[in-house]
Amino acid sequence: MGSNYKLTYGVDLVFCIDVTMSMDHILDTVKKNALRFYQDFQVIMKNKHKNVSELRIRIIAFRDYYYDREQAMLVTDFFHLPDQAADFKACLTSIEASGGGDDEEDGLEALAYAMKSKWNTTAQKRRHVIVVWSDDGTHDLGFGKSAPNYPANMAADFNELTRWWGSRTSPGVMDESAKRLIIFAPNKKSWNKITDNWNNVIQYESEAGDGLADCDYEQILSAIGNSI
Amino acid sequence: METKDRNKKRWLYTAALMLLLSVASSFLPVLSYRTQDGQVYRYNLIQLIQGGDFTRQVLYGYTDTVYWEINEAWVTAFAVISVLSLLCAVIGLFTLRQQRPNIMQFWLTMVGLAGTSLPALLVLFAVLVFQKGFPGTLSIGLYPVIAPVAAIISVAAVYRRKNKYQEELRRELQARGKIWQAGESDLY
Repeated sequence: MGSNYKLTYGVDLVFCIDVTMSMDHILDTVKKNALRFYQDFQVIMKNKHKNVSELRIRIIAFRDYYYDREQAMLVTDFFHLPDQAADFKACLTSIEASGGGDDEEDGLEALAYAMKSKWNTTAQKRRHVIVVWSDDGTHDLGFGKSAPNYPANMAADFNELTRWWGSRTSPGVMDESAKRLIIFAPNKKSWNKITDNWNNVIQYESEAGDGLADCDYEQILSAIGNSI
Repeated sequence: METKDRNKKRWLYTAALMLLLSVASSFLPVLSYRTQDGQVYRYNLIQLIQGGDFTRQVLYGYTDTVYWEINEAWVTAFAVISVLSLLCAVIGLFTLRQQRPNIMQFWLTMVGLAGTSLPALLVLFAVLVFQKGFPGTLSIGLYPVIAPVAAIISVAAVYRRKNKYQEELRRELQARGKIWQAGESDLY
């Protein structure tokens, strides 16, 4: 009986996508990769003889509170794949590259929203993965505070966000053993600070204003696969 | 209701009209050549492709360095590209009419529409660069002006339609609660 026992995995993914104008030429690639992710991920898991019983994906499309106001941060709930694939596709399709103002974006605010997602807590084995796609650095937290829709309960600064992420000795808002953060962004503020100081983080460095070829997608896919 | 439908399809009418204008303009003079004794020759796109009179009256008079000899193979290649572009544009426009077009259909249309102006751009380039090598005066006709302008307008119309479609889709998804502006409740 014991040999027939199979662990079930619940995998939650939050895609934080920079959707400012500078991402225009690569946003379609990001969307395409996000759409094919479910099939590719299932193949990887099958090869590893692992049974993912539940895969959910959430999208956080971020820009810049200071410049883009109401359009700064668009979010979805988790989509259960493959059942809600049509809604997932429609949401991805509806996102267009626009705005952004200056070079840096509100990627840290997007991370904060991602951390506070309603993660799966029922599966025997869980993996909670945040994937960030951006072609530039981030503003300091609170840069866009003057926007009327900037949330009052946002992490006040980088230190607070670091506490939200947590560490082995002092867990944050996420499940310490389940959490992973994969960053696909240039080695710029604050992505490099996160990579150097937070646990369970992998950064794939991209050139500012460039990147996201198929090989990068394969890397992200295998990084998620290897973490399970 | 009918007016609303017509407004929704304005992008299609604009792009299709510009495409027709571009094709029609290829029957207008593409370039004209005034010889030193004041005689004027005008050629449309078909006459240029056919060569003949154009080669005798204009090309034989060229005295400057030949950087690029446009032989029959080149002419055929340009003609094939133009016809393919036209086909892509027409197929693209027809498929984009459906409610939820995909990105491939969008790019097919964009490439097709932009490609239809390729011969006009080549003529413009040739006249500007090689003009001084002719004893007479070479000047552009209506086609090299109309076709690129028509292509720009039609590409803009299709691009606008894409953004509008995304906006409409987002509004529909927001109304269904599938996507929303993040706020305090998302940070519980």
